[in-house]
Amino acid sequence: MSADLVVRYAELTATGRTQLAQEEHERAIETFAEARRIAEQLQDQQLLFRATCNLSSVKLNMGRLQESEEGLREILLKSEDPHIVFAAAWYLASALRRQGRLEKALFYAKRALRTSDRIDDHGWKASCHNLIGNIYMNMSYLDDALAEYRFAQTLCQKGDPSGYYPMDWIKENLGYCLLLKKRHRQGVAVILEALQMTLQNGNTRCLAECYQDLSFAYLQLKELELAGEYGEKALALSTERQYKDILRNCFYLLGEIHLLLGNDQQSDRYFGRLQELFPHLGVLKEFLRTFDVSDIINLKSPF
Amino acid sequence: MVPSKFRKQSLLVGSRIRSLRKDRTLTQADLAARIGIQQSDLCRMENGEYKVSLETLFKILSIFEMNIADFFHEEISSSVKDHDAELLRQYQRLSPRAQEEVQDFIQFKLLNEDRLNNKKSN
Repeated sequence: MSADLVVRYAELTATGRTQLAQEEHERAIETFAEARRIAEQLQDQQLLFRATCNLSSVKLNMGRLQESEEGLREILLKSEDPHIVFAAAWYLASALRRQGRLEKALFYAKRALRTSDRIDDHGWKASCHNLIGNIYMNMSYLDDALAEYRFAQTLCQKGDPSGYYPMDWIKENLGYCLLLKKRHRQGVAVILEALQMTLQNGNTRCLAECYQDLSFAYLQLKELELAGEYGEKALALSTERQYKDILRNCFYLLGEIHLLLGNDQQSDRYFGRLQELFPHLGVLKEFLRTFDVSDIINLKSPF
Repeated sequence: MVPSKFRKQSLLVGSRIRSLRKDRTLTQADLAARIGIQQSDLCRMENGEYKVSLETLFKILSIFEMNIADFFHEEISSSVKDHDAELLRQYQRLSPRAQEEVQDFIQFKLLNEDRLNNKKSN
């Protein structure tokens, strides 16, 4: 009986991961919740912790950030399994980062990094450095972020070729960070590498971010036609997948691009759609038509 | 209405936020708490070193109770004529390299004019 339940738990975990990869979030939640109930039935704390971490990962993907924190601190206090501790610290850091609680996010990301020393896996370590890079980028410490992304990239290259490495994300982040450092051509080259990877591996979220970043890059370089093309691609994909943050950024980028192209009507249309998202801000359209904010915004900042 | 053809440098947005904050007798700590960022980050933002999301930028606008367009209008309308604004807009459509060339040319013309003026005064 107990052995059957363990097998069922493993099946549910595998199914949940597939559903998560395919962005079937509601179904993944149900699957991992069932796995968690089985772990409770088995009274197996390690399985329970794993199921909690899996549930967190789905909620993080859905943007249910505070909910995704549930149970993770308890795991960090009670578990000694480095894989579980790593996952709990990593998810907690990610949730906190996306809520703008950056100091705490950095604390837990470093905890995950220390734990990864006990796990012989370059991919895990690389994803940790990537996360720390994201936190530094959100803090606008761009040199520190670049160093983290570069280190993450090196780790991926060193690792066992059969392992999983978030190389597409690392390159995409590295490229965007270079754009913020005004090293536009270099940034574009790295983002194009990430784009190739995402077109092959089907990571649509990363693909949408690549298109968005390339639109921003060409806007900065005043290659406006190209900026518009990538902006439209990002807009189409983020509309289809409901990536709300990218959608909002696309309205801004396309409004700005058309303004500089002299297409006032088009610009007005995109700024108008952005305005609809902020109905309380009557001056938004006028403000964006008047001021160039491209140097003070970070399209990847969650707050 | 703010003339739509005129666009300012982004660094000034940070310094303008500082003026607006002081005008409303808000401390950095007050404003940072209302935006939901740290005081040190607001300080870096006012200096043009800290980058935020569009959402946070708009939150700052709403804290200043949407009078920001009028506030900026005074400065813009008193300092820039329509013709200048059009020139600036055209300049901003140039590539960074072309912008550098224009800057060089302006420097060259200014130097020439200085030389001419010096000759006349001698």
